[in-house]
Amino acid sequence: MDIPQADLDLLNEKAKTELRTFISNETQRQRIQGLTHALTDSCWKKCITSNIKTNQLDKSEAVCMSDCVERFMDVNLAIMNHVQKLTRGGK
Amino acid sequence: MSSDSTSETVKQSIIKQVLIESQQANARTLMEKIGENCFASCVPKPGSSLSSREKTCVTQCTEKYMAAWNVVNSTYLRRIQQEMGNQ
Repeated sequence: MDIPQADLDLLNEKAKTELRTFISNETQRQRIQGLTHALTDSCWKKCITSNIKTNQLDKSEAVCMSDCVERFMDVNLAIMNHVQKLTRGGK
Repeated sequence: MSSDSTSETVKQSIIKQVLIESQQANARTLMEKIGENCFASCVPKPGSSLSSREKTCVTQCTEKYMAAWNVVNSTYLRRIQQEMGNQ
């Protein structure tokens, strides 16, 4: 994305602060969306194993996708806790 | 006063441009992922042309993948909110 420096020079302090807030929120939204893409990809491969016959998820597939996300988050948490323990305890 | 409104105009145009580009990036990634996964699901053994069965599978798969994306997104958001509440 290219914004001419001349345009940026026209921003007053209030607008700059508002833009910083916007960019920081937008960055977080993008990060969440990025992980949603990665998780949908990974969980699709685990959960959608039978031939596709409709345009909808059946009940068990939807439950599997949702469980997949929850367990991924559990794994993340377990890793974080363990690494914290490792770095704190030195073993 | 007029410099304030110029500033506001520039700000709004930057916000608009960022939103457009982020939506485009999101759509591009989704299309790539649908392509990869539905190709894998619907065309396990590529033949000399796409059969009508494979074509039907691809359109169904596309919609199904979007439904899966929505399930993942809402589960993920719920979980993030829950974890933020626990802190």
